[in-house]
Amino acid sequence: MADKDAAFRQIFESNSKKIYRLCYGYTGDEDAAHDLLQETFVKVWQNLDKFRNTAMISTWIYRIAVNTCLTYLRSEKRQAKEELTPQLAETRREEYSEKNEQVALLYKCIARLEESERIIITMVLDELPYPEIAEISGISEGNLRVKIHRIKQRLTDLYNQYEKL
Amino acid sequence: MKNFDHLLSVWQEQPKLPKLSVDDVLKQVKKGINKLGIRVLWSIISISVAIATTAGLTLFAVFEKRLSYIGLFVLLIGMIVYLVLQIGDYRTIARHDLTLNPGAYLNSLKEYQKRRAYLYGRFYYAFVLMICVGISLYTVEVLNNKPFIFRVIYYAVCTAYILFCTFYLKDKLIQREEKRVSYLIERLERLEEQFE
Repeated sequence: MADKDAAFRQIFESNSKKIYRLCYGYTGDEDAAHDLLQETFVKVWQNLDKFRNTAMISTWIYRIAVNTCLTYLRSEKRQAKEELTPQLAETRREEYSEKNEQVALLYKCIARLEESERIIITMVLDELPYPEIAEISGISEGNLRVKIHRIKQRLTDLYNQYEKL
Repeated sequence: MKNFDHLLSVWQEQPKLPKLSVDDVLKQVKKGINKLGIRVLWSIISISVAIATTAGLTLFAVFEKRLSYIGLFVLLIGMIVYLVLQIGDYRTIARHDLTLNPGAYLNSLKEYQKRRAYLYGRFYYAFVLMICVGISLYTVEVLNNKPFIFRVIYYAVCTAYILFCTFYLKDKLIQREEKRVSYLIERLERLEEQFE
């Protein structure tokens, strides 16, 4: 039990930041992102014994997080993210410094992407290796490269478009 | 015009950090679903105290009529059977740790659901019948010297309480617990599917 605790702590420390960003990119809501982060790691704990080291642990956790986010968005029939984010960005405007404004704008642009694109781009931004992204998203590596290229383009266009406003 | 590398640097320099600590998560996972178990445990403690009191009364109080002893025995039998069932329920739910073995816990939860359906279904009516018979027999002698109005009030209160438990409280408790157990089962099943 103590070993499991220690292993879990280490896993949490090295993955929680990235998973939180993924959840935040997915929901655009800090509270929801925290809930999803917690749910993801509760699942990690419960299934730690099932992890067989055939995949990298980060890949495994990403996959859990992606499933958790998808379940959250689909089964709960949440309000569309596009409607939420501008509101959130508006109400929290004062909190943002210039740097944070850029981050908020980036999240706003991510929110304009499709569900699968959002998940892929957050992994790209976190510089996950392509084979790992392919495994998590279930897309062949060849197709993934093309897809990533398009998403990058679209995200950059959106960012420049919003920045002008 | 910004390029993708700029977005990458914005992303990587973002100060956004989770406020959740590993200790919070560990506390959450270890808390498990103890609430169900705690409720059953409280029932066990309450019924044990009632049994001890009734047993003490049976052993140490002196009654003239046999009916009083028979009433107390009937009460004791009803309560002991209830206690045994509750202990069984508690053992079912405490057999597996959710945080260590969710699959086994899920099966325990389904078994628990069936056991509770029996406890609140057929057994409940048998239990109430035994309690009513027991109280009626016991109070024949005990209330013998009390004024008529006192007896009427006593029986009216007892009847009202039993009716309240049977037609209101029982349903509320069943609904609340059923909702919770079904929710847990649904969540655990969803979790299981995810890892198959």
